[in-house]
Amino acid sequence: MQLKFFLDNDKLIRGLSYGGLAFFFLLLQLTLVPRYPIYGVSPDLMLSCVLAVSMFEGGKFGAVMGVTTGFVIDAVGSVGLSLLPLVYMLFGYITGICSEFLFRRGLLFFTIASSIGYFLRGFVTLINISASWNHYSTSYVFLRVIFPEIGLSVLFSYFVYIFFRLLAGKFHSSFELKN
Amino acid sequence: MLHFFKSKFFIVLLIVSLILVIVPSVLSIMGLSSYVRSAVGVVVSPFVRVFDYVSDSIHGFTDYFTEFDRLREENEELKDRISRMEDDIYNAKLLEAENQWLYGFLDLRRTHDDFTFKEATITSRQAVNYLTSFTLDCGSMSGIKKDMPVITADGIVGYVCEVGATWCKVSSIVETSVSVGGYSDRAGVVGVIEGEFSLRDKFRCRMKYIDSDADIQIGDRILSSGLGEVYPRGLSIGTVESIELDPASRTKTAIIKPSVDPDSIDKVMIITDYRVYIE
Repeated sequence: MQLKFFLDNDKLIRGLSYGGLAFFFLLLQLTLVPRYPIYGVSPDLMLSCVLAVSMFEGGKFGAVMGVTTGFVIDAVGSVGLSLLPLVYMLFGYITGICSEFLFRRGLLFFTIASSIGYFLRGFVTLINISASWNHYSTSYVFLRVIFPEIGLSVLFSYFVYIFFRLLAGKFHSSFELKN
Repeated sequence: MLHFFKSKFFIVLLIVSLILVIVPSVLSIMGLSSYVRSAVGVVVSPFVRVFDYVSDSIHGFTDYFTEFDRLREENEELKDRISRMEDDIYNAKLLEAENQWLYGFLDLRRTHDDFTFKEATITSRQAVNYLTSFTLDCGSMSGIKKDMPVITADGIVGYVCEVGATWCKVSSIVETSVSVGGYSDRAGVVGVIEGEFSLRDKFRCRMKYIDSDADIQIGDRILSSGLGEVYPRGLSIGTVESIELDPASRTKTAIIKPSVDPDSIDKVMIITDYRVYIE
């Protein structure tokens, strides 16, 4: 079953295209984004990539994108604990299923899902801070890191959304973007 | 809905995710860099370098554009000439900066003739908001090992916390992972330098466990004492910015402004070997 999913030519092309776009955002995340921090933090673009793919292509694509993206961002952009592959995979899979079967795909769904996703991401950041730092104040962490990170990331997620929406338009003719 | 979570696809991916979470985390806690993570770093590093170069160009372009606008408003007829002159000045500044860096490097080599250096360039900075770390363009293939000190001519930058084949990650001095023994070069006051999360934003750290009657003053230069396993003795850590008295422990705590801000540097030196002096 898994093999069939990956060997489907059309899905392979779509997967590579989305992967390429996500890789572009990964490079942005590692180079340009940290150069221009806003309120001392940089937005996380990668969760938006996972969300966009899961929304346009469904849970399986979202899950694969999630685990890959989570692993790569943890491997090249972080030190220590590596929680993102699991978190991003679950997020990609669940939002993919929700967008396929429960909710109408669109900007409203994307906004709600990205807000939830970035709160989840904030929780992972809190765990990482707890694991990495001996001395920190929780209120400071929330006010100066987690809340700004969530706000900025949700804001910048629309930028990511536009790119993935344009790419998804190449593969899906209808607005609903059915598989 | 639950049947989605019982599908073979999900279970396989869940197992893969758990492996990718557990293996790197455990290896990282053990101080070992996973081979898979290392391989990812090797693949991504060249692309990051190219993108970093493009980022530099964008940064340079925006600066130039702003300057160009200002000059046009001031004197339209001289804009071409000024632009050329600015290019010359920009290049001269680059050369001057490089010259200063090399001069400092030379001076450091003379002062610490027991140090063996490896020059490295910063290729990317932290991708998360809770760390002050960055990646360098050399790794185990260049002889880099974990816990090697990273410095510039101005002082300590941090230490190598993770090593891949062609890259390594550096944790800055303001991180809490390693406590550094330090002393003031004026009065010889000793203490332990530690990072604190609330000071990370301002890029400051604390020097703790200073005797309450110790002669430490604002502006004192703090050097590494050589105690511990990472930093050799005599490297500049920073200067004392403020001093607080802790009545409970009857000790003083000094806020230290590090000598080197990693955001303002592109090149560093890794000390690959040094002689340990035991007093």
